[in-house]
Amino acid sequence: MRKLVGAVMVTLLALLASGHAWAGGQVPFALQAQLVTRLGSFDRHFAERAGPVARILVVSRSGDAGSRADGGAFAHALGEQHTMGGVPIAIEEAELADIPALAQRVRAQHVALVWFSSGLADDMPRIATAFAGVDVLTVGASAHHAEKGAVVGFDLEEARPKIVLNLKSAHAQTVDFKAELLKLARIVD
Amino acid sequence: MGTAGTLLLATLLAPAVARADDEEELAALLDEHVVSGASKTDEQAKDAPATTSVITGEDMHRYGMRSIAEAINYLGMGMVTQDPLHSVEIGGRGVQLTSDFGNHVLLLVDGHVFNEPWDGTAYFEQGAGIPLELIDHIELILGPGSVLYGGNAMLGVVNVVTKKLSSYSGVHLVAAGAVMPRQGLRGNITSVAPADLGGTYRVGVGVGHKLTLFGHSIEITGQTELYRQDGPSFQWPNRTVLNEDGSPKNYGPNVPPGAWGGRIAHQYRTSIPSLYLRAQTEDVAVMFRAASNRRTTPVQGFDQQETDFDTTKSWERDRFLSLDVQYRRRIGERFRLGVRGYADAYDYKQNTFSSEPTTCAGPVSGPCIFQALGHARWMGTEVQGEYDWTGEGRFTTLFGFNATVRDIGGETDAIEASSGRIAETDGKRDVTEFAGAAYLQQRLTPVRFIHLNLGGRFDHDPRGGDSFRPRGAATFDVWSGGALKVIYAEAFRAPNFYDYFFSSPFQVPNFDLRSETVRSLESTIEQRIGRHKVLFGVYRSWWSDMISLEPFQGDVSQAQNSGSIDNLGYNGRIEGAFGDFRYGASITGAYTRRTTDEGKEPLPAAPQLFGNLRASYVLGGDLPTIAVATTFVGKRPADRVDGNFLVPPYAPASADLRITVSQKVKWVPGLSYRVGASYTFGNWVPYTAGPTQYGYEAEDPGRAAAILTPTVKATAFGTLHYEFAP
Repeated sequence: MRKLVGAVMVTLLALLASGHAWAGGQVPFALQAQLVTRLGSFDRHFAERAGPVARILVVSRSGDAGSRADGGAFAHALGEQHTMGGVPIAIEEAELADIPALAQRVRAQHVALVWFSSGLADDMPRIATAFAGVDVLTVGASAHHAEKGAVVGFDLEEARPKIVLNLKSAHAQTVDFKAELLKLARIVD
Repeated sequence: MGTAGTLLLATLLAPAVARADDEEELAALLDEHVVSGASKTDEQAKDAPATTSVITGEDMHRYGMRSIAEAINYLGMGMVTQDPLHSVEIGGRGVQLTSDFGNHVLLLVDGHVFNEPWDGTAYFEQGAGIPLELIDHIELILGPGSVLYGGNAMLGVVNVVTKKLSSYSGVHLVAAGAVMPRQGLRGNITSVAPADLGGTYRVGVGVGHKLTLFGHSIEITGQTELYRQDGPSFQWPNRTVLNEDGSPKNYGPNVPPGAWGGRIAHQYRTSIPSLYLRAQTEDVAVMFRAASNRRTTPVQGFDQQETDFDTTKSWERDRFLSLDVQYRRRIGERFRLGVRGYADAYDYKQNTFSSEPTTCAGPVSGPCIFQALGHARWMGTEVQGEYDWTGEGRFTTLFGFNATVRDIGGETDAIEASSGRIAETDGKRDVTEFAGAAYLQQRLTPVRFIHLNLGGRFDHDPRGGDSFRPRGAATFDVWSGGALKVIYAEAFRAPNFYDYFFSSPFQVPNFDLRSETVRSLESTIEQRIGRHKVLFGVYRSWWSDMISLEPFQGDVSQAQNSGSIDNLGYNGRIEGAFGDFRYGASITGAYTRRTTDEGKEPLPAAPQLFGNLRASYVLGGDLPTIAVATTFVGKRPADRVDGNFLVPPYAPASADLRITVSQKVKWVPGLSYRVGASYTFGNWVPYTAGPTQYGYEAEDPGRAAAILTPTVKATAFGTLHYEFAP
């Protein structure tokens, strides 16, 4: 019996050591997808930026299985929304290998919105720098994403979803939100 | 207006209407509750496999809530608490058991079980020892919940989640106080003179701070505080009480020999120092709490009926220490694994001082002290895994194992007060036990509008035996904004140490006790219309093998599986907002019958009709937020309604009204206040008190009316909260 318990413990520790961080306490992706698509109505430049079809890029961390899984789950939930700000959406998934290349791709393909999956919060400062001057709405899976440079992030406060806005990044990416959204959101620097 | 004019007006207004619709729609999404307690997964409340209601920390502040118990009454749905001037009794949907001390409701705080294993106690008033400013939200999960949480979760689960650093950063200084007027024989207010007021105060210091250690970011939140209460003062009717030999019974120096009654001015006091700390990294969470709850009660009930009148020498004290460490990782794309370790220590002491030597279990000279002692130390681990089969959250399997080792003991002592000599010790026992459990839950969404949740849990408990409890729930998104839910669930409660082993001159143990069980079937329909939500549900539950103290031989009693409860009813809720105006209401109705050897009867003290109604408005600018809340409860029989009193005692219907004003002080950044007052329409709660609280023999010529416990009629309160970044 002791050997069995020991073996279970060792296996457990090995599994835990091999894994990635699991933040938990996030806004469920189905709800997050609904919120993301509503943002289009509050972004003054969204229709102009999107054109006839709003291209949305769902980006996960390269080599991070959890990040990839979250990206997939969000893309699936987003696919059920069909439109954003009255514009049909087209969703693509990508892994982040090179930040300047991502910024270049966003520019070249006129991507309207980039959603960053879990595991990318710490990369947001560099991403924000690379995206400065790029006309795109960047959204992160968590509040940390927005605190570190995404224009929008999501948090759970008092069991309700909260939109977190980084106005500095919004300004740098020519995103101009209406006052009605600012009133409902938490603003970070 | 002509056609052209109408068209012009429509053209001008259309964008504004569309904008208002967008804003309304977004605000509605931001009002959606996300809960985690019902399935151990973050999910929208409408999809959860239980009827839940959420009480936010903001609402607790806004409506002037001073404890979890008050929040349940004023802001929750389906659960209710009543205050016997002792620790509150909590019930749900028509079932509430006397002297239960929270045994049938599981209290979770950040995933840690607060019910202790000696007597199953969980406190819901200030005795919970959870600083209110730290509470992010409370989930009230109605109905049996053993499928994931094991014992105690028979009426439901109260899941308290504390704030993250983003909501509680900096240093927090809290000072709160309240005053209550003196009350008279009929429970009425008799004096508001400053010298006659009872009062409470609470002072606390909290901190929310982020630090970096070995390259890891650690978010720390915590608060320590001291709560104290003294009064109000109550007047009790006079009773003449004799010993068996006809001599006058001695209730101490504050009343003449053979007399009980008059004013109690010193015997309603509480002191609760507490500390709650939480540290969180990306994948590790550590919780620590320490709390002590020392109190005296003026009701002379709860086994203190033999105590002196208005003495501070009789008291009870619970002490808690808890440590919880959770570690969670993600393995591969679809597997999540969590390990939790926990360790707790608890002790209880009841000290009942009596000047009457004949109340003592052993031979003493002079006054006697009856002491009940209990302690428990337990530690364990829980391993939990979750596998997402599709990677889209549509087909997810959760499984877990829990193992606990616990050492529990207790005894009762009769002590000669003058010398400290122990005259007699009863029921001294210490046991070391192992309890284990395994559970499995399958969530599946086969099509977009159907959410299923199926699960079961096997528990091995050395006292209650083995138990398997299943749950099945289905939610159908029947139309836009509408959700229909059907739930079947079971739960159990193994006899606690006190039920099983407790022994005193008046109680013998029962080693044949079985676990109590409950089965429940319920259905709800919920509709969201913009920011407004309406829910209505019906339920039926069957309770078996209920444990209660029954007569054994002579004056000696014993805990026995002696009854069953049949219960059905409805609950409803409406809540929403128009801009800065918020409102909410809930109602619960029940029909409950207890079956014993003597037949069917209403369940004593259990409210069959209760609810609440509330509204608040943010005046804006330099003006405060005003909130009005009421809670009401219908007529219910007293706990000893069958005690052969001259008139069977009932507590009449009552309602509490509370008005609160709160605001951030503009000219002192970081300072906020709230002030308020509450008043109770209705003077009694359904708990008998005093030396005749257990009633009379039917043929007793000296039978009198029962003495009911009064409500606290009125309270005025205020809180100052100052937060700053050092």
